[in-house]
Amino acid sequence: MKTLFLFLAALGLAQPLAGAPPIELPAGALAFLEVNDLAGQVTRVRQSLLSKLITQSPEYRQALEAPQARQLLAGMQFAENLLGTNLVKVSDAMLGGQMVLALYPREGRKEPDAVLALRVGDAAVWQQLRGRLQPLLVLAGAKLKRTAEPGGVDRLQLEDKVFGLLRPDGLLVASRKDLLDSAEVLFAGKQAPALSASSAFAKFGEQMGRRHFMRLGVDLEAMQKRFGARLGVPAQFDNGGASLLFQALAELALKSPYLGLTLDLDDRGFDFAAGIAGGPKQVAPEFRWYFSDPASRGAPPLPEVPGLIGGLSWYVDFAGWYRQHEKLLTERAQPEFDKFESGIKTLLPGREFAEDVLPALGRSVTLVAAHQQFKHLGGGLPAVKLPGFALVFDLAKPAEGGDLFALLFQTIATLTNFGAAETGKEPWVMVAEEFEGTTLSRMRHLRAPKGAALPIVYNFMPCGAQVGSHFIFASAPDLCKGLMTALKKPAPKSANRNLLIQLRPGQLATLARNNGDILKAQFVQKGQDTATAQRGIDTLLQLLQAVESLEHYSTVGEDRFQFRLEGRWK
Amino acid sequence: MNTTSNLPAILASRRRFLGQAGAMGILALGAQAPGFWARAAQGAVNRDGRILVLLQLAGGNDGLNTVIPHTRDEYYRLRPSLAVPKGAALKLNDELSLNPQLVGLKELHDQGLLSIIQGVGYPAPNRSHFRSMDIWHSAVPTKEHTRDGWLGRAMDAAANSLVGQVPALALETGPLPLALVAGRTSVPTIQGVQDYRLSGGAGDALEQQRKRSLIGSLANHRGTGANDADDDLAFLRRTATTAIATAKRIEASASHKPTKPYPATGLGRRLETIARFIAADVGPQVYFVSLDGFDTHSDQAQAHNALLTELGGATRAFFRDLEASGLAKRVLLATFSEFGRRVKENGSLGTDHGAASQMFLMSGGIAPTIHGSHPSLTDLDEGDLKHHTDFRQVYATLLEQWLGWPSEPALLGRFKQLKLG
Amino acid sequence: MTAPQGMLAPVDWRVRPWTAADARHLLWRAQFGASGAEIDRALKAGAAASVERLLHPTPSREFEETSTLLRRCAMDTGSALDLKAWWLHRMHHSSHPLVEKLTLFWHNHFATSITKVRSAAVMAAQNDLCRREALGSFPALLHGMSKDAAMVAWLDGNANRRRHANENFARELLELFALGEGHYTEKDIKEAARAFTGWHVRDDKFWFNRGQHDEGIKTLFGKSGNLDGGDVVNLCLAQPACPRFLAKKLLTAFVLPRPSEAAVAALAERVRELDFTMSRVMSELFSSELFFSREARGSLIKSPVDLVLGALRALDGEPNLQAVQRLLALLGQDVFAPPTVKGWEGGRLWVTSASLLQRANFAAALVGSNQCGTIRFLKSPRLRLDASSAQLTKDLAELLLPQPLDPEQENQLAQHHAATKGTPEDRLRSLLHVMMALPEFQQM
Repeated sequence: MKTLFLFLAALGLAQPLAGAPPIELPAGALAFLEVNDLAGQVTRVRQSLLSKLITQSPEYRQALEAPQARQLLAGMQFAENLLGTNLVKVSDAMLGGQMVLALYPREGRKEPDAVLALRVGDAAVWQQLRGRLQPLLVLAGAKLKRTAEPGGVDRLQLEDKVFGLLRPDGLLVASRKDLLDSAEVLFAGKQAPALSASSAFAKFGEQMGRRHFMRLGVDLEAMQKRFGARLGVPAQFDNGGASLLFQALAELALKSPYLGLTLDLDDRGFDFAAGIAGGPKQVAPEFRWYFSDPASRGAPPLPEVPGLIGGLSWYVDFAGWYRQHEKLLTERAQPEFDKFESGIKTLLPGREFAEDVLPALGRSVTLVAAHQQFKHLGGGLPAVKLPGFALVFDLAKPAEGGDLFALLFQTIATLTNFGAAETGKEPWVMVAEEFEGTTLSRMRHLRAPKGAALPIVYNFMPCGAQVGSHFIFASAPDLCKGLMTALKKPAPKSANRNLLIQLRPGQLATLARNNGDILKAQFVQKGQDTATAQRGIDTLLQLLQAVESLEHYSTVGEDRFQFRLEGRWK
Repeated sequence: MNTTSNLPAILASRRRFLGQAGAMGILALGAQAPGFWARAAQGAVNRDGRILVLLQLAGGNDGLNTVIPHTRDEYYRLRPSLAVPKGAALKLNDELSLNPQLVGLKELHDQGLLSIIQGVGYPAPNRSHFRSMDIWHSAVPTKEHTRDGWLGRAMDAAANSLVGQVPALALETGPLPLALVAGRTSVPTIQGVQDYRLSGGAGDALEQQRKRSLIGSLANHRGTGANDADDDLAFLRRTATTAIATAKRIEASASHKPTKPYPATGLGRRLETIARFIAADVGPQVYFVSLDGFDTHSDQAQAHNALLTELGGATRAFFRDLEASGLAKRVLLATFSEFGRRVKENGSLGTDHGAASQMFLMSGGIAPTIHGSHPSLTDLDEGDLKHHTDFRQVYATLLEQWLGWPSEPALLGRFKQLKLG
Repeated sequence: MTAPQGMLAPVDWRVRPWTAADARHLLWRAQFGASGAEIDRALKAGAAASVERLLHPTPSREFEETSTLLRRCAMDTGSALDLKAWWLHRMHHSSHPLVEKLTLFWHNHFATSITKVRSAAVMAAQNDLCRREALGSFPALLHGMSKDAAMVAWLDGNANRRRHANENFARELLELFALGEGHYTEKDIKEAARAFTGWHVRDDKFWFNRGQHDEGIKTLFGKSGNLDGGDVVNLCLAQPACPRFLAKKLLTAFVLPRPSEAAVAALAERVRELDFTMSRVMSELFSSELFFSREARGSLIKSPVDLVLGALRALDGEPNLQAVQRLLALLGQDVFAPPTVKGWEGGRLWVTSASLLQRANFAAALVGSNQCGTIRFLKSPRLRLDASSAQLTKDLAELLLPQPLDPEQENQLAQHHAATKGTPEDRLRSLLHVMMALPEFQQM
């Protein structure tokens, strides 16, 4: 956290300028990183409400007080004196243009070679800086060779390790002479084999766009040539969770020519994307369970329930994955499946997981969290107010699946009565309630709990209901009913989403506000006094309220797979 | 048994180890502070002594499906779905076979490293996990709420010869197992190497090393008027010096690479750590580890197979490693479980809590023997196997014949010993 | 009323001077550590005023408000962690630390664990009882405990029924709470248990379950009648073993680990004469020749709470209570969760080879990072960072250690400080780390 604030503090001292023509670097790179108009982006972010909140926060001020921050500020002061101008101007000039860093393989050496190219945003300031820096170059002594060339070009060479070129419009640095030469040709706008024309990076540009604030591209084919065909991805995973989440993706990535990341920022938010080329058809059949049909919507949108805080919706052919666990996972991981199946049998007496449960499962599961009103407690209120949580399972065979889930629900609900007396919780019995023509099963406390400071367990009341091909497990009747209403409506049309995660920070702020004293106590427990703790909570709430939405999703296309993470703030 | 015959191998392994770890690391304490308490700590290293590794199979291992009396028809009759088919079991002799998952143990058997004690139990067996485990740990079947365990009492009784060392170590995540709880001797539980070290605090490696050696040297101080063994400050200095010396040895042991690969299971990793500590002469004479999950009431086959595979694989790797470093003769690993399971399988393809079962002893330092006969499958005690050997006889044997510690104070009585050979 | 005599007679501070070492000794025993400022203040105030201040301090409203916030949090979440944080906060911040020190003493005496009781509210109520009578009346405390909901749950009071007496509470009352082993018979336990039948708990409150109370004649210590629990407690209090038992426990907790028979007898006599009034007993004890005697100095092995909170207080620290409670559990003193009804036996049993390493590592963490809390000491104007290494070592030893170091040790430390690289603050941290990892720092 502190590091983040420090970083923002450093950025806060930089300032803006306009764009520049794209830089090209030599072909043959393993990876490149490109940043456009960093200074301008920083200004836009600084002008947003979010960053104002951060700079006003006690943590930020505290961070500026930290020894590292003070050293940083002192260093900046020193640099300003040396350069005879303020650093804001310098950063505008230097970072207002474009910057590209690329890595190249070198035969017989592990470490790659690097080329850095920078086109400045303001040539006049750059010129002035170069004048100021001349004496420093002299100080470097005999190790640094400097040759002045016509046209305001300085050629630098530090032993056999670093080669540089200072031009009126920017600078180039490389760890190999030939790389610098090729880069120089391209920098001057002449034709030569360029990085962006390589098949991997061309595909990257075509699928993910060429103009972004920041782009990172990796040529996976080149990487495979250098580091082996599987790039360290094991043929079999030894962890079930990792296999379910990443294995199929890793296999697809091994078929993709590139791995690309892009980032865009403006004063209202950010958009981060990660992508590879290839679709479900490119991977072997045993990995297709992960990918939804590109033509379909995949995972459903989150159901709109009152007080929705956030949730996730995931397309996954769980049965397809499970049936292949012996193929996908190592020998070592197999006993876990046996244990899991034995465990499930306790909850579903007489049912075999692979035989009876898997065929009933559909292709998506949704998890949501939403505020609850606790009306079901009949006046009592838990002291700590947690949201309701719900899991919605999509059923392939609604009739059999519904029965199985109802059985599971009843077994779990009964188990919760064991130990109820010990934890001071009132026991409950199962009741059925009609809601909008559908049955909702939930529990009823034998005696309605009284008081506004009930133990935390009163946040949880198991509810189960089936709506068409959906089975809902919820921890709160409010949420269960909200889902029953929402799931009866036809889902809105949406583009393909393989995995969707949404968070509404404003609602999270409400949750935090409802439990303000407990949060405050946590801060005090960590050693703050109450006033500081209160300020910390206020900042947190303001920050949460300043963020409008956070959304993460992945999409499957016929020829590409992409993740996006988007944030919007006020 | 003649221990001196093993010495050359042991010394060789020590030398190799010191070569790897850097003798400086281990001897640094002694070199920079030839102090008072360090002498005790250095003298305490269990150089040629024997080591007992106690392996608890928690949950109640189904002994009948572990060592199988393949000639008895009742076995196949009472275990219609769980019985291991005759052809599949790994034959040990005309009467007994091992579960096919125990290929590791079969290999140890073929190499003469495995002994089996059949029909072990105690009178009026208790079938509650908690209580029966307490009985095995306390070795006092008749008394509830014992405050110490059999090894704890043994260590207390042997306390004079254990001065200045860490006599036992449990590789556990939870609290100290009752067996090791003692009145006067304290046994650390650690999960791994990282849990037992002296931090150097802030600063670079050199600064940390400076502080650590200064802390060691100051703890090892023989102050004025504080040398009486009964003095609390003397006690603190002694304990700190032992702790720091042991921590050093444990730290140095990190560079000891196993000579043979271990399976990547929980038990495999813990036994690998123990082998490393033994090779690095960390000091303890008793190690405690457990393997949990043997409570197989339903669908026993899958879970039990996995556990036996883990057991066989890990112990085989352990002894391959010890053999390669010439230490197998110094180490005896004994297994126990709180009870066996019912002879007759239950209705959900599992077995319920039973009574007598077998114990395995693995060592390169004893003659491989199968002690006693397999308990009868027809003459049962409420459906359970009857024991013919009291587990305290085995404990007495291990204490007296293996560790050379008196058994009577540990077991609060005299028990007829087996012949370890 | 007679005045204390002999080794319990008050020190005559006109005969020998009241020094900083005396002040430090008093404060470390009567609260959880002492800062340099506190030692200075006590030194200026003198012995009598310092003891008086420990007994009757000025209350702080700000502290009580924060404490209320933490307590409400624990009640709301019902979490043992929040409950522990509430109490640890009191131990460190209370304007009346002696009360918290004695509350911990009573918690250990009536050792009850939340792992069995399972309710934070009920545990807090028992803690309140210990606090109310911390410097109050032992008889009131003993009566209160026999009806305390946490105690009843802990020692199976609800299973103590008319025809099936459960001896758990009666046994511990005689063995651990009032008399000690050897001062009662098995028969006494059986009779006492009958007197407590029907002393149950319902809805977290004491409830006399009349139908389950044994109304028969019981005989205890030669006295017969239809005794109930209250009678048993009173009979125990009247036994000569009772003040002796308490006196020995107080001496080993506050004065010296192995008190002589004579010391125990002398204090027992005072306890009896003062009618078990704890404020008077503690006041006399903290003024006595015995307390300030040579053999008492630095003779106690610090409990984990004394070690951790003491170090934080000595260095003007602000503890991170969440980290501190994890640390205390690791070091073997998980408050609100003693291992058994015997409590923590303390003394040498605090120390194992593993716990000594952990104690030394705590010192490293405290001065090297802020994971256990932040320490203001390094910014203290009292600190003379420019003093010589030897002087600095002497000053710190005086602040932190109960006894002077041997010159040889002091030399080694000063040399270490002189040879350490870095800023004056870095060097000081290094010195503090080593000093707090010393076996000597484990004593108070």
